[in-house]
Amino acid sequence: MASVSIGGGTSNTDEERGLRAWWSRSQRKVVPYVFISPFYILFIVFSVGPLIYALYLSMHRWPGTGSMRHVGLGNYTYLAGDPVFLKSLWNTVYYAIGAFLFILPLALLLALLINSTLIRLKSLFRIGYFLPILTSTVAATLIFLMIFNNQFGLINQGLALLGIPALKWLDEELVKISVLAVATWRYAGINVLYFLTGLQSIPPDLYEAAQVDGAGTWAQFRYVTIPQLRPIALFVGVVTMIGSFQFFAEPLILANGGPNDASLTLANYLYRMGFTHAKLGYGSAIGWVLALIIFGLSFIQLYLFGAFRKDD
Amino acid sequence: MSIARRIGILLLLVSMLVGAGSATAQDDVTLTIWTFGAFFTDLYKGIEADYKEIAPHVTIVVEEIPYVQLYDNLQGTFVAGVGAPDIVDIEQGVISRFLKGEPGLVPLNDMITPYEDDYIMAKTALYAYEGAIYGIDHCLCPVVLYYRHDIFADAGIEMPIATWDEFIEATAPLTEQGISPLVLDDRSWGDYYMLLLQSGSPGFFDDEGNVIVDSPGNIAVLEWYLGLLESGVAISTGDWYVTWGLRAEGKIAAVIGADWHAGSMKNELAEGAGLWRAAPLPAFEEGGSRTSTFGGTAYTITTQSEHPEEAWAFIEFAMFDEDNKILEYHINNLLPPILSHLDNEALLAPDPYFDNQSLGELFLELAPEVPFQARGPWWNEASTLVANAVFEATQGEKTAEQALKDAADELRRQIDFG
Repeated sequence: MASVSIGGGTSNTDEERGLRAWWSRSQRKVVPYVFISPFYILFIVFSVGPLIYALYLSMHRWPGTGSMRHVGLGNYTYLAGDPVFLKSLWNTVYYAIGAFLFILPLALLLALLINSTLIRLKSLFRIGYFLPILTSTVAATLIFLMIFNNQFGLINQGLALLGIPALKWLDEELVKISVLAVATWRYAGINVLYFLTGLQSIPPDLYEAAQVDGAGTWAQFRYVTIPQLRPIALFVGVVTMIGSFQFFAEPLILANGGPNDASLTLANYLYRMGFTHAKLGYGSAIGWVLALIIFGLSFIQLYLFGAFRKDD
Repeated sequence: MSIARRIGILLLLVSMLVGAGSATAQDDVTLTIWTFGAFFTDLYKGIEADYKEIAPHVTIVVEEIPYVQLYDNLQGTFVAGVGAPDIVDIEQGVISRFLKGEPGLVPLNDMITPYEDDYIMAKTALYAYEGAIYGIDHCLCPVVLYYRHDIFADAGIEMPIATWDEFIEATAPLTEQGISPLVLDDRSWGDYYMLLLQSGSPGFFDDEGNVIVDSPGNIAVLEWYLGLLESGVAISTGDWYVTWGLRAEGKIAAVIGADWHAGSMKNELAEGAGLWRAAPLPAFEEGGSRTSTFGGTAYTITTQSEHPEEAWAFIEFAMFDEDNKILEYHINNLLPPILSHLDNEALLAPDPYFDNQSLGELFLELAPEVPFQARGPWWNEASTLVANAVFEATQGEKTAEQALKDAADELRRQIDFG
């Protein structure tokens, strides 16, 4: 008796029968993998593949055309003595520390305020704080550029009214603070939303139980809110750290990484080397160092927050 | 249609019939052009119909891409080996990265040879490396002194001024009135570079590609530059927009700028119409050069183009047809780097924005003095380092000599690294 093959023809070979039997046995196991395969295919083609190729490139000097010159770890050893790389690394660490010291506490404070019974029109505040992240980075940063101008900017005009002499917000000494201020304006809002989501998911019973036990506002915050926020704080912390090390647009638009590379980030320097100076191998080495830093710091954060503990 | 245009079109027709290309005259050819500015797009749209009459089988597709993105995309196509357009407008500030390795651009030496007596060949140096010329510049970009004639007249200053020393002396009354005679950048290389070229230096490299960032001449110009800023002859605003604002308020009396700056002034400083004029740059010494050059964008043909002959034919039409260059001048004030075009009546016409001065006459007078400059594949690295050096020197962090020596050492280190 002839059987109908998948292709529509007829065949009754042993091979095909074997295949059909295998398919009958295995399809429940195979099909889920087929369904999730688009992600993995895209991940391999657009992430894993380029990562491996970048590792290969990082051991060569290559301007993108012509022959590659193998240099082993030469790009990495050059990095260790490259003053601009070290400067950009320090600048990036500065922004990351700034994000943890200013952006996240501010975001948490605002989230607590919005979540409290003191504030009305909560939706209005939620939208208001979220708007900066929707605003064009270029447009917003250009406006900040004018606000920070040392001779005619809004901030120095305000300081002048108070009798305070004008500050050079975009010069070497203050440019990182100015960039951080723009980042705070832009990214605090999205973190407010994260924290707000965390706060709203804390069961009210816990606060009621704490009140019954005589806990005041601070004790409730210390012993209920903070521990309950741990998962969202871990998420916000890791995302902020990764975002800080990938920080790119604001320092580039506000000060073009300068003056004198004072605001240059690792991502800016990677771009400068890889594209502007067409040093694809060196740019790839910077990319790998950046990736390893992010991986290492993420791992430490997850460890410190107890993400690997089995009881969690 | 002018006689020159008719002759040009006839020559083009003949060259297309005689010249052997990758396609026959009957084959349909689509030429893709990547450009970054609406002013170039307007030019191509403006000449498209005329070119269709000459070359009916050629279709021009213009893709206007934001500046930074254009060159990143182009680099991507060179790395990938596919996807490049036929023609690209490459701005002089980004050409050096495309000169490294095996350039993905077609050498145009043979193509420009018939025009070398008419085209101002100094402009090809920006796009040349190891004897190959990869780009033909749209513009001459001579630098002049744009000044507020009313302010200068009120102060009794007669223009033009012969030397910078005389300029410093003559403009002293302006400083006393709270008006800055000049504006110069304290955190970038541009203004310093213009003055450096005017002084006779070939820039950051000599014509053999050696680094001369810290040459005695270059150091002397930076020291003089610092003197202008420290003495108050020049002001730094730290911001392009602020400079426009101060100019509108009459707080800045003069700027140095190229031909295209006249177009920028008409856009950004419309209220200044009739108040500004242009003069030759004061020379560093009596009888010295009275101009410099700054900026430029070149026509280039990619090696990936399947129709390089047709691409050159279109460039030839856009570049060497006098009417087309006049159209371009009207669109963006880019002066043709072509001697036979410079006395065109349209270029010499009085310009109402500039108090009915003929800028063309001034540019024509200065064109032979446009200086040579040496570039090459390391120019981006050099300009980044010199920008930092200018900043360090103007902020007093280092002396001019130390700042330029450090920049030169770092540049040599980067070049050795490869």
